[in-house]
Amino acid sequence: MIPRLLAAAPQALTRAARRVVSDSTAVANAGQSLLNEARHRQDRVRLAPGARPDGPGQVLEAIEPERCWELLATQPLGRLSFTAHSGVPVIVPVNFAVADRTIVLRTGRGPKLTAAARRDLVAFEVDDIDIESRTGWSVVVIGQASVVTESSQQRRLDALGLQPWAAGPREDYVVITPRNVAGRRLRAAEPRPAPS
Amino acid sequence: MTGNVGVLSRAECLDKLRAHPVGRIAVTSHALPAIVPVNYRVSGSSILFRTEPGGMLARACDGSVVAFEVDELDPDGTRGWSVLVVGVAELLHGSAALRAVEAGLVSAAGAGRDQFVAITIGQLTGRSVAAGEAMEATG
Repeated sequence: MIPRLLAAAPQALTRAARRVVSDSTAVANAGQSLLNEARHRQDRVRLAPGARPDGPGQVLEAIEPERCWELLATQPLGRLSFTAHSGVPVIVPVNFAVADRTIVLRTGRGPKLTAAARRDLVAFEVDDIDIESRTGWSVVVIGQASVVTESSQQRRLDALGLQPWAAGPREDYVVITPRNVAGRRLRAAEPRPAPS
Repeated sequence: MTGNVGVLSRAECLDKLRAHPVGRIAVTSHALPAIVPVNYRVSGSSILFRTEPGGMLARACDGSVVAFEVDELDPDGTRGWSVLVVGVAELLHGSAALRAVEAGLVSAAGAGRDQFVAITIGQLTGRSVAAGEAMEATG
């Protein structure tokens, strides 16, 4: 795997290492100590047995929207991405429920509620990934967030039993009305003769 | 139900980042928000990951401010932690990309993901939740 890759190009890496030491770009400032650290960490790279770096072993394919909704409902938590009012992007893990093809969240006062009150476009992602086998899926809903203010709708959402993780004095419902739902699945390619 | 929320120090956040294999990156693509899970490595003061050259993520990461999040939470949210990085993402070329290879970065998504991307760790914040226990004070 990695040792094989490194063995294949020792000279290139040595040259690269020298360049890295003198590289002035912001991302290449760690120098020789980084290379030593990286070698030390090689044993922590996790791949499925037989998986090869850059090998054609995995296939990334689209998931049809109907299946996306089924998959969304299988997970207890997702990640919400929005822009805080300072303009900084944020991702927060949240629990959620699916109701009438919308994503329902509960939140107290804070950036999430502020974004919903502005009716921002947000992204909401749910996934289930197994890094060992390099398989999994991810579904992303892009939609408009809004705060539920009608008491009849609040009561209807109460039936979902959605409890906020950090209960405050007041928790509002936030609904994400989807504009786009897309999913991708990572799976093993069709079986090939096992490399010896 | 509700856990005790604590704040993680920068060092604790870095430890969590280094120990975890998969995170989610949030970017803006065609003026719309997007989130993509990626496997990654921490190298120096950067988060490194690989993506498809010229793909959505590569285009969205070219010099943009992005958010990157890693977490490990119980389904009911009563125990666990989450760490959020905000920083500038840049496409790596030449020696910087080889450095990423040296860091042992293999894309879980397989072949063709040869565009290396680095997120310089700027703003780094983390929270932990422990059920029914007093959190140790953190800086």
